[in-house]
Amino acid sequence: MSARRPGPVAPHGAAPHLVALVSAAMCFLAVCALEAANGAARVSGAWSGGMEGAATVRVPAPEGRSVAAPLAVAALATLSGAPGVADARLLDADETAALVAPWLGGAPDPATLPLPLMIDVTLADPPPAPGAVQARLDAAAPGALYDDHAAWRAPLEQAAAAFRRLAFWSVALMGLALAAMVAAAAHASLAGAAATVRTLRLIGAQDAYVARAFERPIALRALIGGAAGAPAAALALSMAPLDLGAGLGDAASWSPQIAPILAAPLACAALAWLTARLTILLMLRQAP
Amino acid sequence: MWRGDGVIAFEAAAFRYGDHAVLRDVTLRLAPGSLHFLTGRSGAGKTTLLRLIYLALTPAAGSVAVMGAETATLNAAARAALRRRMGLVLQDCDLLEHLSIRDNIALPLRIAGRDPRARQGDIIELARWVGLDDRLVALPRELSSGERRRAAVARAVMTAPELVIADEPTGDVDEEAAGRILELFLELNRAGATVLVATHDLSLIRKAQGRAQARTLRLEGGAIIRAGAAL
Repeated sequence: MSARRPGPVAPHGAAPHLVALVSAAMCFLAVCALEAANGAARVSGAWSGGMEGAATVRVPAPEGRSVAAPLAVAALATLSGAPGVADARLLDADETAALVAPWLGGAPDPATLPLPLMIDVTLADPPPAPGAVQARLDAAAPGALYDDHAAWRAPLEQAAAAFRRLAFWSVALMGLALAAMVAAAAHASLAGAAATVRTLRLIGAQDAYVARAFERPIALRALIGGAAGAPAAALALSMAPLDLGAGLGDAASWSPQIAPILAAPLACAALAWLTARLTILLMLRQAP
Repeated sequence: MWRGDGVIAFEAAAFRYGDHAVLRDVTLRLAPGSLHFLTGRSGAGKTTLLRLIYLALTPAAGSVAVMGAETATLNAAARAALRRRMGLVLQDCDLLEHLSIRDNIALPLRIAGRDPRARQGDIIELARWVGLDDRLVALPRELSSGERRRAAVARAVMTAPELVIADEPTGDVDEEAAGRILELFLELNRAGATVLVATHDLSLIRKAQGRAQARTLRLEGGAIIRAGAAL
């Protein structure tokens, strides 16, 4: 078999090789950013999911009494008939103590620390409007407080959304940096091959033909660099102690996702190809 | 093949490099299938005139039309399409240094989107005709200046262009090779191509006039001062 036919433009200068290096670095960082955002979303989702569909009602002990049974019974009765409430159950003393034990370092002594009564509410779909439930409780059991955990869920979801935005802008900036590098490389390559380009055009080469001669090697180098950088990021993340979802079950367990690892090198190659093509075509248009 | 009114038509065309007017008032018309030699002293503007034809320059005044297209109005795609209908032999040969002589000769085929492997026989035959059949795998830097010029000639005629423009095609080549190059041009001309050769080589013109109906154009003072059959 004959050897591969050389292209019409000889590889020129170090700039295309730098594209591979920059692409590797950008893919590494992009995969880290995407996987971090993905991990944060999974942890946030697991936390929110655990709280979703449930609410609690806290019935404080009236002053001078250690229990609030009559109020709790009234609250239970109100909740049982409320729309959007599937079930309501009064926690016993041990269950209530277990809830606060992690914060106090052990079960509290009811004699010294009176605990409110807690009602565990299972919500239906759709859940009730918190204001409506609270209004019913105010009427039937003054002092009872309805908590649908929104105050806990919101910051988590906001944090996850912030991570996603951060990842998006990080990836966008990395893309911009890669595009700038590719544009510089294409510019240098074309300038270094000015005589060759002149000859090709005199023989009748269209600008697109000339651009292809430059864009292919650059895109290939971006792909090779990305193919090295993306798996390296996955490896580094796998080795890092990032068990953010510990104790939250499988829904929160984190491991590198394959999609960013596959997509990042292809995206880098596509971006490099497009940037090189546009740069070359623009330069050729400016130099008829 | 262009059969319109003049493959090349200059109408009061002028061109200047800065303050230096090279061409002042060139009017000429080359008929389809004609053979012309362009003469004139060094610096007379022969190369500039050829550059106006192969679309490397546009006239500062007047007009230049090639195969019916006014060159100043063409976009990049149209310029490229028109150049693919031409064969150019330029003074500095413009071979691609990283390609073998075979690939250089085949380059117009690649640019035209044709597969050079299907034309290997023609490439070898052409190389044999210009005396380079034993140098097909060599790189241009391994060739003498005369061999480089012959390679450029072979490349220019590879696609049997409608218009052949040659700028001193026989400079640096021996008499025998010059004769073969002339023979190539005459053969293309007989096949209907229009051929315009800028040269100082009067013996080449005499030989051509002995073999074909060749006209001579002389550039002087920025204008064509003589267009005739006799030298």
